[in-house]
Amino acid sequence: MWEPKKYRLFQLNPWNIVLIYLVLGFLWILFSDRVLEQLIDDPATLTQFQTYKGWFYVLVTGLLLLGLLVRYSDRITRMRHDFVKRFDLYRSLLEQGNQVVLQVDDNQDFSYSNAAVMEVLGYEEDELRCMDDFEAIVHLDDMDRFNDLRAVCDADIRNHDPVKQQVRIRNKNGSWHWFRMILTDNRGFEHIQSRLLLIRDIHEETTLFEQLKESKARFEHLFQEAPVGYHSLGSDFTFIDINMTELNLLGYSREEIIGKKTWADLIVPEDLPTFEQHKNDLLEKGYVENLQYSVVRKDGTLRSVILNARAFFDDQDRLLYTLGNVVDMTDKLLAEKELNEAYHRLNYHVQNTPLGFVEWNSSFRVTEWSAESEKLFGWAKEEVQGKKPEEWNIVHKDDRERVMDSMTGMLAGKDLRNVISNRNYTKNGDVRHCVWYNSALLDEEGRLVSILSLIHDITGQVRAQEEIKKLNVSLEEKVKVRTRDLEMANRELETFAYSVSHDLRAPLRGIDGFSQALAEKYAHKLDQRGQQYLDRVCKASQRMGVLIDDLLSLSRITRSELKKEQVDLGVVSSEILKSFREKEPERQVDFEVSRDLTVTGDANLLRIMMQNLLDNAWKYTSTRDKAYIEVGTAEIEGSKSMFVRDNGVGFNMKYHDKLFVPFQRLHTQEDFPGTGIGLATVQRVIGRHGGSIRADSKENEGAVFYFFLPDKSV
Amino acid sequence: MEYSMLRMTDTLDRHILLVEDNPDDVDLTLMAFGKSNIFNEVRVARDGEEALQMLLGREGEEPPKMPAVVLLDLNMPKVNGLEVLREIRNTERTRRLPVVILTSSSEEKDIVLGYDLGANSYIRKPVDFGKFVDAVKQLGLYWLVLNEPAV
Repeated sequence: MWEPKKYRLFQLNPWNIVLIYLVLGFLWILFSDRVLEQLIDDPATLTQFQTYKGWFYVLVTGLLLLGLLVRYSDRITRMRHDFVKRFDLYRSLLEQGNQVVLQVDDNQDFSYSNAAVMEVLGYEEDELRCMDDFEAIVHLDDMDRFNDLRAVCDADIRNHDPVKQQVRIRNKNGSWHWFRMILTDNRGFEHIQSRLLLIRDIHEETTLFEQLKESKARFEHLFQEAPVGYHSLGSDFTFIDINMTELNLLGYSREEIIGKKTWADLIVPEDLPTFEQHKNDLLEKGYVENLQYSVVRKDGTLRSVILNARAFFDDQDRLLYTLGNVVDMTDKLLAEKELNEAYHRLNYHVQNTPLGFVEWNSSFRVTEWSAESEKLFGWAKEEVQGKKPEEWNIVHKDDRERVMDSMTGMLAGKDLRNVISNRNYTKNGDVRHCVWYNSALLDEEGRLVSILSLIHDITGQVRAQEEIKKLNVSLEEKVKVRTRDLEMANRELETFAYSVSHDLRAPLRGIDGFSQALAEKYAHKLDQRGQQYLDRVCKASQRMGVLIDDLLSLSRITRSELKKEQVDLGVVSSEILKSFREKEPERQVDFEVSRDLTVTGDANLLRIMMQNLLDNAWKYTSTRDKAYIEVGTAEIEGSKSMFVRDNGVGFNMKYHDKLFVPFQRLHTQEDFPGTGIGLATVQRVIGRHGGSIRADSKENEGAVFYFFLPDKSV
Repeated sequence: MEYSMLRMTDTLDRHILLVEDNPDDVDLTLMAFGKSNIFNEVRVARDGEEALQMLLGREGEEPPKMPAVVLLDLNMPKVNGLEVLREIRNTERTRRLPVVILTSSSEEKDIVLGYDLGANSYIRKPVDFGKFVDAVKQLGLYWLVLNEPAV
């Protein structure tokens, strides 16, 4: 602004000067002659002096006028000089600044425009001559704001504050930029009324501002959401700011903390001394680091935190505020505590395990040697620490090479674990048999860090095994002898069976043959009774032949070799029953054979078994008008069993025990002929297959035989 | 028919060699032959040794006449039936001679071994005399009438 103060001295009004002059002149004219008349009596002299006085007055007045003129001239020169300087400054500001300046006259034409119109907007002076010209280059979305600005042009702007609007304007080169338009009243020299339209490119500013805003938002987010609690405390250690993380940590809301709580309010009483020290340190050093506090959450639970803080002071070194960060260490401390406990537990176990424990480093030197190892081998830890296994006499000389070979892979970082059984020496030279369970610890690069060995002393077992081996050898001898004896007994038995077959049958044939010869050739010499006796002799000998044959077949079942295969007992049963029917077509027998009766076993023996079971069923239903025989499966005690059921005469369960005993019969020969070997045979077949059989019956109400054959029969 | 009659005469001329140590069985067998109307001469060897003598003859002597069929018991003193059979099969002269094992034993191993050694048939003597006669009758019919011997 122009500064009129500088020129105050020269600002005496010309009228005032004239008035002062008039007053002084009047006073001079009025009093100077009287003073002279008083001083000088001589009229001639007086006249002379009056002349001088007139000249003096003219002289003084002239001088004063001269002084005044000189001063004014000087003032005008200075003002002009000043004005030119300022004008140059303003012009250069106008022309060289990047602010477009447009003088708007009452018709909204631009009576002045500076060079920035070209430089900033790229338009020639004659392209932007009035406000209307802007309508073509202001962004449509911003047109409302532009019009608001324009409306002010019409209004009386003298009492109006400058109007500002931000609009986008298209440059001459076609790009849109943000500009700030300011319409202001121009109260220039001489109070000439005009309006100025100032236009400034604020694109960069806007962009920067946006970036700043974004950056601030990011910072705010970071501040609020950082995994670390942040807070600021005032000089009295009351909270003045706090981030979300710390609020969450403390469980309070922002309102409950800011201005209301001090740090001392949040910590446990035990930590108050720490806080005192903390305050002192802040004041003296300006910072505190890694202070451990237990803070009390709103809900009363405790959290362990680490606090770092820095203090800020004013010029007089008075504390302004502190900035602190808080890290919740509760979980970490807990984890550390657990880790520590786990380490101690593990170490305890390792040291107390009944196995010897040795740790070796990557160059296979002892680093740990447990008490149990000392007990086992006799060397104390101090005696073996740092030694390689070949450096003291621990591995049995005959096992050394093998042990070192076995360890090569592990020492090269290839094997993660191995088990080596070898002999070791103790300190006093005894030999112990040990199993070494070795495991390798590797780092991330797969390099060996250490080897851990657990040693199991199996000397006792080894000795016991040797003993067992010796016993086994003698046992095998005994078994061999027994087997030989048994084989001999078996051979004798076979010979016996053979001779039974051969030798007993021959005399029987003699009895039968000669009895018949007698009956034929000497019948006339025998009376009827004699002939009957003879007949009985024949029958008895024939029956004995059958008995012998059955006995032999029974023993053959026991002796024959089992050949396992899949056998469908349904098919077998149907075949057998069919053959019965063909033999006795006159009998009325219904039979039902279910499917899925396949078992694993010896086809030959199983056929003999079914033959006997069905033979019984067929035989004991012979007195029935309508006989019924069923072969099927049933669930007995959780396993799939098969059964043969008939509606025959059955038997009394009282004699159940005798059913399967050879030659034991529950019916007379007259009622139902037989040798009593059938069910014994059945039981032997089932027994040989590892199965079981049982019967259920009531007299005259049929019988059912349940039998079970395991899948993998023995 | 004419041919078969001719053959009948031929084989009926020949004797049957019965190798049996049990005199009861010898008699019963002879009775059975009688009842079956087989009238060929039946020569009886009481043990294996005698059987071989009767088949192979003594050294220096003319070899004896070959039987139509040998009925061979297994369980005999001195040389048992299976040994006799092996000897018969090992001798050129008797190699193709029909040998029927006629025994009380029905042991599988005897049957198998008998066939392995070259028995032509294996018959178990039934205890029932009626059945025995039946068996002998069929045996005679088959070996003396139907069968065509190699020698």
